[in-house]
Amino acid sequence: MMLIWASKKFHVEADPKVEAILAFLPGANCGACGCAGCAACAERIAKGELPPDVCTSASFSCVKNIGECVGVCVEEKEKEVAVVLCNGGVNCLSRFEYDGVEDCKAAMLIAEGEKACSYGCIGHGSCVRACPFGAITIGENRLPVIDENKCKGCGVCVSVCPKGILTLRKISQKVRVLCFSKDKGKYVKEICKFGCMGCGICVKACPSNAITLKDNLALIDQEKCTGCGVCVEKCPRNAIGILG
Amino acid sequence: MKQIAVMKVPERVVIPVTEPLVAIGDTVNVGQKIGESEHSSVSGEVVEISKLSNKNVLSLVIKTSEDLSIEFQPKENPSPEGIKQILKLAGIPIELTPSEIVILNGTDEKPYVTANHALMLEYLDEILGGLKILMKATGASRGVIVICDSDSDVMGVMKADAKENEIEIIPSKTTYVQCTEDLMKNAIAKGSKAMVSNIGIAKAVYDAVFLGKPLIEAVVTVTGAKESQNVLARIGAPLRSLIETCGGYEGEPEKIIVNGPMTGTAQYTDEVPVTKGTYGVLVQYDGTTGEIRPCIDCARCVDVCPKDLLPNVLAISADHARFDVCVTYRLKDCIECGSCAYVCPSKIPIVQLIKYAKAELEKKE
Repeated sequence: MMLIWASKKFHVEADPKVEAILAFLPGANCGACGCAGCAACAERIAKGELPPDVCTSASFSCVKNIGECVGVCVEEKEKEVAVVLCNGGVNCLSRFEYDGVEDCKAAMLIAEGEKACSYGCIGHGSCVRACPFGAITIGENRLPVIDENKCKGCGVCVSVCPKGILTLRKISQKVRVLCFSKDKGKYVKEICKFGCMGCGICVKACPSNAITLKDNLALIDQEKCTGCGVCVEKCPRNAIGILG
Repeated sequence: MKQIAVMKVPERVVIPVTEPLVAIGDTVNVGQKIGESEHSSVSGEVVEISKLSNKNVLSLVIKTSEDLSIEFQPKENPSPEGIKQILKLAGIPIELTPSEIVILNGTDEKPYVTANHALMLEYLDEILGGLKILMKATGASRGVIVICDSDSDVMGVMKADAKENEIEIIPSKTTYVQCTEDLMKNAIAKGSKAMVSNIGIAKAVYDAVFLGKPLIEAVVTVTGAKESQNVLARIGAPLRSLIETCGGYEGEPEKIIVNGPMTGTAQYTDEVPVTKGTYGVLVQYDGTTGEIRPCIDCARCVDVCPKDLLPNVLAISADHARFDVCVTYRLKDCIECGSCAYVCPSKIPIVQLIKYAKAELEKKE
């Protein structure tokens, strides 16, 4: 009796608009929109503080429905997924054996991680634990593997990675240089099997002139790239990959 | 027996500097200023200026040529302001605050470190002289040296000289975590203003004021090499050369730890240079710590914590990235003594978790 009375007495009148929006949000509370959870996000969308397409995790039909709730027409955006810009893992030399807290940020406190490459993934799985959708696992070669079906492109892993090697790519951008090392080619060759040395073979091979070299690293202009895959074949280091 | 072995001048030294004052190819002399508060510890040629090892610190590599002995020019009877200036120029990491008591920490409370003990036996006059200068510069009327009560030999040598110079000697119990700065201030100064420094600094102060010599050497206790001893090392000398001075490794080293096993950091290479803050090098041949298991709430870490914290709560909160909880449980009071991690039966790296939480909180600020 007491509970029934209390539930009636203290009933909070919720904004029906907020509830409608909340129904279309994924409910993962990932925080990528900058709000404390989906409920807070729904409130801010209802107030007009955030655009209806702020949630990167929601599917387009949901976003469209949210847009209808607040009376805004939404255009479809291309889906984005996370990508790891490192191909090293076990194929990159370690300077020492790390024996401590299994967390990338904690491992970074000790000489910036154990990998000889200061740009490479150290593979202690901070991104795995951060991902609200369980889309990341650590693979056999000690590198994070992203399940592109589960990945919603929320970008939480991108902000959590202390090395900054996770980034978002549009799903149509399939060809990526899977290396982030700005070190000189000779050093990269010594420490990593799959690191980009900046040799420039891909620059010459690319039929659409989409690749340039910058800081000892090949850079693919995604606007020009046709996804033909010639560079992937020609790369002597297997540093360029076709994703998806 | 001689307490401190003098190290051979190393072939090359690596000195981290904030802003280099010299360029590649320049020749430098012993004691020449090469950075804002750094001095060359050898005579030779600058061969490299680059970011070494952990890519954040700019380092100068100096290749030693013939080692010239340089006559340093001291200043006669400087004023307190003058002393401050001299110490700053000599690159001595010390902050002189006006105080009533100057306390020198002469205890070797860290395991495997005896550098202070050796310094006191070898350079007693210099240390007492250094303390007098610090007292003059800070305007203090009392000078205190804290030593371990087990160091009876130091007590014997020091007693007469200290009495003559009106310096008190206070023995402290020989246990770990006994002589941190605030513990000493509370016990000795009892509310009056105090400045705490250590024996090595006092000697450097004496050298700077009476000999005009900048801080280019450090006494380091090397343990785990064939002959464990105290070594007078040039700043910037690689750890390898220190260990060679002590007869080399006894086998395949597993871990090299700088500055004591409790608070120190394991190094991944023996090319790491000696810095102004180095006082101990420990080589371990069986350094495996074992598998990390979950916390069993035994609270041994709580019993042992000298600052009355709850290390178990701090570690678990840090592991769950609940840094706000860490702050409520006085994370910032932790002195990272390492006692909690040492007693932990589950081998949880508590100190690393605490350091991690501190680093994350610093980033947020």
